[in-house]
Amino acid sequence: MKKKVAVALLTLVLLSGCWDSTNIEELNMAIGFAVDKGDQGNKLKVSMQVLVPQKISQESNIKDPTKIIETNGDSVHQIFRTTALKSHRIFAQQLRVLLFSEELINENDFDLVINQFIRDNETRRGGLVFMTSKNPGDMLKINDDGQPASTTLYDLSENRKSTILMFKTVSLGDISSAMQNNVSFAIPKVSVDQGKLMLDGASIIKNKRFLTNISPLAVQSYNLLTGDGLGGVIEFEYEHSSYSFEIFKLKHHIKTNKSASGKYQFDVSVELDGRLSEDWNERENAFNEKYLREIEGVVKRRLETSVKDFIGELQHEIKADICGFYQKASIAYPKDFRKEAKHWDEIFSESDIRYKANVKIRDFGTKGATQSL
Amino acid sequence: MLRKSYLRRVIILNQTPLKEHLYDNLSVILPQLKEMDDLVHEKKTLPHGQVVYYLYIKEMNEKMEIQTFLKLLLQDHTSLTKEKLESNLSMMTTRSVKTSEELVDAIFEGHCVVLINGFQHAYILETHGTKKRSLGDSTSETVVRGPKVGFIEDLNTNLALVRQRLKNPDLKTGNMKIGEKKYTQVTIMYIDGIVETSVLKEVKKRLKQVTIDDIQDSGVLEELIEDNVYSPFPQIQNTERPDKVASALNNGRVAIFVDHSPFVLIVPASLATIMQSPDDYYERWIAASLIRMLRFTSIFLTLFLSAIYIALVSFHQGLLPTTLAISISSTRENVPFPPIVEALIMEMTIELLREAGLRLPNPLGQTIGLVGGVVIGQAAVQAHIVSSIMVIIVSVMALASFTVPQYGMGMSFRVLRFVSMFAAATFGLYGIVLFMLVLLTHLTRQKSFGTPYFSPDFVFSYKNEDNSIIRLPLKNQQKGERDGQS
Amino acid sequence: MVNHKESISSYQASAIIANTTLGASMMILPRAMAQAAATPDGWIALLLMSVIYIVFIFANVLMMKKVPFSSYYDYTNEGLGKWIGALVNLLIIIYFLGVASYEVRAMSEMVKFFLLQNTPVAMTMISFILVGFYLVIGGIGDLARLFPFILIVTLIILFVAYGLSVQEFKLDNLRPVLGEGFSPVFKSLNASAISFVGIEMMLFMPAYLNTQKHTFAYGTVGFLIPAIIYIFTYILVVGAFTVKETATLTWPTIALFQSFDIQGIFIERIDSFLLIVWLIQLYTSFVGYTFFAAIGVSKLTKFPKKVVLVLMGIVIYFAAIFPKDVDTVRNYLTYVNNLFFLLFGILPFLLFIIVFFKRRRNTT
Repeated sequence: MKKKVAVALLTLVLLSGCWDSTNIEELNMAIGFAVDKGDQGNKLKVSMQVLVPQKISQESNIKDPTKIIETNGDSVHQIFRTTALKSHRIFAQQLRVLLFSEELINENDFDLVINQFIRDNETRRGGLVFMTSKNPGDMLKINDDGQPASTTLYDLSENRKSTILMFKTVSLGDISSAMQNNVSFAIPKVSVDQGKLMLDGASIIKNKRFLTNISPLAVQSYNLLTGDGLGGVIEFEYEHSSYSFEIFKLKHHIKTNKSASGKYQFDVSVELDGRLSEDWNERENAFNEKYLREIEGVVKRRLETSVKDFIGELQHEIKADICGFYQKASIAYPKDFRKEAKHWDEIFSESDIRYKANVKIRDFGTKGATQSL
Repeated sequence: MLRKSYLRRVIILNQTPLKEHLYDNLSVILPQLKEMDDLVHEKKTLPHGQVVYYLYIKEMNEKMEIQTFLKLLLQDHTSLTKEKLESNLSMMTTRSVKTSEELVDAIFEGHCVVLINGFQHAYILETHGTKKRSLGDSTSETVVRGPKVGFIEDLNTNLALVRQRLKNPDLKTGNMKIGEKKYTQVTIMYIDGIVETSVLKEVKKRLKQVTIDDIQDSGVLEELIEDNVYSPFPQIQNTERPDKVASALNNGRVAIFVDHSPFVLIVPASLATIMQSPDDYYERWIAASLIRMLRFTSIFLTLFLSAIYIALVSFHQGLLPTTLAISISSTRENVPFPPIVEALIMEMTIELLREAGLRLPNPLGQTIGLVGGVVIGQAAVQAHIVSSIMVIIVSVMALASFTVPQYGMGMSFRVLRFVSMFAAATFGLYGIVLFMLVLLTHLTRQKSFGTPYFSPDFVFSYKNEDNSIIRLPLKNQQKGERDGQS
Repeated sequence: MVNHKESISSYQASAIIANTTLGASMMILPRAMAQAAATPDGWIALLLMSVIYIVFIFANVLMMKKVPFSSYYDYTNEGLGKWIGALVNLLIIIYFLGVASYEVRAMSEMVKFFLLQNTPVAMTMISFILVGFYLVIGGIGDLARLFPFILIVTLIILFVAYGLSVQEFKLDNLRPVLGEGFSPVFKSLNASAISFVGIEMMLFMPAYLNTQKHTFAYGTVGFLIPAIIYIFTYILVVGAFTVKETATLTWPTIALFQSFDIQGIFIERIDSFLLIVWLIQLYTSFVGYTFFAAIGVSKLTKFPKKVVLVLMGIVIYFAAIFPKDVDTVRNYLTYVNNLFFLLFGILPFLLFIIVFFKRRRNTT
């Protein structure tokens, strides 16, 4: 009797079907989203880069295995569901990359735009976010010898060790945290260079809206100021010759002080260890200790100048703290910071930021002199 | 009063005494031996007039010994008296009996029975010659390094194979005849002082309760005495190798030998002991530990691999790595069946291949395995009946199930694999977790002759016999401690 | 089901306590504390709580040594007499069933949200309850053998997963330490108390242990394992997300593991492992509570095994289904919390005094 009941229960379970079972080939796996201002009065236009399995099995390694679906609408969730009228259900769990256009973020609060993405249990917080100045949907269409745009961008972001001109990767979760804390931040910017995608500086978001862009060189200064740089090459000119300095290690210290009048003072000091990798100067002689010191001094001065210019720009023209100084302030003076958090950007603009760089050339490669010694 | 007569009747039925007159005895015995054309019964008249009658079943006896006996008899020219006969027969193994039941039993045991006119008892010549094959390799459990000999179908030879390895005076053997008609001869072996007395008692108790007489192999006996017939896991270990038995005895376990079966049962068994292979101890411990870990991983693989595939592909596609999701999606593009059906088709095919490979005569067996595996798999993929990933998964699972040392255990895993696939197909990852929990609970609750089947010192312990995954190097232990493999 | 044939070792007892305590809170704790404290100092609150609990355990051990008893159920009967004791035992059973159904509810929420969106909740709950009961029928020996195995596996997976998540950790998110003084810490103490329910199992175990010597040891170890895990969870989650963000996330710990991918290994996304671990931990908590509740019911009513289980199954199922939304669940939890403090915070001391004097009186 007991066995019969058990078997009956079991069959009931098995017969009642698998509610959640969906076939993988019936899903549209989206690997990239591009959100733009909508056409024809709609608020938003979302372009989704989805994988098309058919194209893969037909031995095409060169053609792009994705297609782009564009839908207009007023809310993100609505757009996804409307897409179901056109094709299979969108499946966002494999999402890697999100692109947003400046125009859109200029007119809408950023955190509202990404609201659905964060709430959705399927979209992962690890997706990388990029800003574009033009049509982000078109950017997705650019493929690099068969590699879809989303994958290209994702891979490019891993190159941070090679260049100091690249802004750090910003994920969906990061911007959600940042906006929750109501601070300004920056996102890497993507643009097109001769038909190929390129990471081109960064875009600054202040008060949840788009503010302005900064150039790759400014990003270099940013990296040197915040210590986010992982490596890369700094080039500079001296005595009418070009030099390249490759960074190995970047150590970053910051001291926070607050004066009685309420003005903050940040002392940033950075230590760079690197290699003199390229020297166009004919009289170069890296074996000479003095020569090296001379070059180090040049690098140091150049860096300090450019970073100080950048700081000035941040404080006076842009008036936004994207470098995370707010965090140092909140650690050092937590009680005060609570009151100041709301208008931190103004306080930041008035604070005194000092920058000091210390450059050390560890080695100079396998050839140290151009002319005979 | 009734009791007395009942008793008397019983005595009469079981013990018909022999009479002096030869033909009286024969008239009792021969009717029981009708229609037995392989029974030889001959009468010989000795030179001095005595009549001797002997019966034996032809092929079960050693002819040479009977000839010797006859020669002995015929030598004597004087009248045969009991003492003389017995002194003559003292050169051969004999027994004298007084009841005809014992006579008949002896005939069926394969001995030669001698009746002499004028004697109130008969003699049984133990000329019993068993047909047995010569010792060979253990076919179902092969090791690279270690003794290769395996048990054969003869009980006494098997006992001897183990005794040769354990010259321990505490090694005890107990014979039993089990079944209602007591046809099956069974011997229990254990080492007194090390063995768990509770287990021994339980073994004896269960053996006595067996009523089935048709026990052709220890497998039948196994089913009759094990704790839980409904469990998919075997609770009794069986082996063809004497070295395994010897080690088990050293660890306080009991071995059960069944006549005419080359598989010896060892109780109690636990998951750990069944998963051990003797050559874990004959090889170096690091390699052996890694191989053991491989074995456990293979249990996991064989149970869950296709279930995980089904769950991930049907339910939780987001958990797959992106590139894998792309390739799976593309390979599944042309396949008309959902993953569970695909998996079932491939599993069925593999089971068919395995079963067919077993039944085919030897020269064909290898070819079919190759042909089946490669060709059918390849063709199925190209015909878009299954996806290529499925073929890989199913083959890996099949291979994994064969790494289990005991064949019966591997079979239970194959059965469970289907259950896990259904669980995955209905509830996805949640189903797999539930199934895993049910399985673990079942294993933990399972007992084998009183000892737990799944014990917590599963990973490693310093006692040599318990370790299942990591085998620590054997240390020279103090005297009196158990050592060696289980 | 009260299988006195088997006795368990102290090691197994600590595994039972650890597994029973480690439950739904692993995933929800960071948010509850972030909401209560609004500063990243929750880990200090957790540390404090741990110390308080260890003191509590110590006090109980001392009391148990002076006034040994075999099970808390008997203790209440001895201390308060048959009728009031029975009432108290009923309260204990209600409390156990309450926590058990909370675990079931948490499990179904998680499964519905992350794994099986369309499957009706009833199916997941019923199957979960049935599988749990399969183990409960077995008796304490089976629990004691299974739980250490599960604990070790859980610890290994958590260790690896947490180790990998360190890449998201930013120390600055945890600073400043005590920036706003101690008051946020105190505010969040209450939020963390619920996470440690499970330790009271200590009071029910003496009957089964094969030795009474290591009571403090196994109680503390059984308590510390979940405590350390909770502290690390909190630190990693808040370190990765900042306090403000954590306060807004429904399932902070899973979000942590969703926020990064491990390139190059087969399992890129490790949140699947965590879901499995958490399911198993909910299962063990559920089984632990149900088991002791079942013992209580069978002591109280003397019904046969199966009847007890069926009754409890129905109660648990409906209790788990009953709350309509998350807020009701939270209120529910407050009741449970209060019961916990009453029954296991205050009552042991009362009982100790009463029974101590009673026994003294009886011997003189």
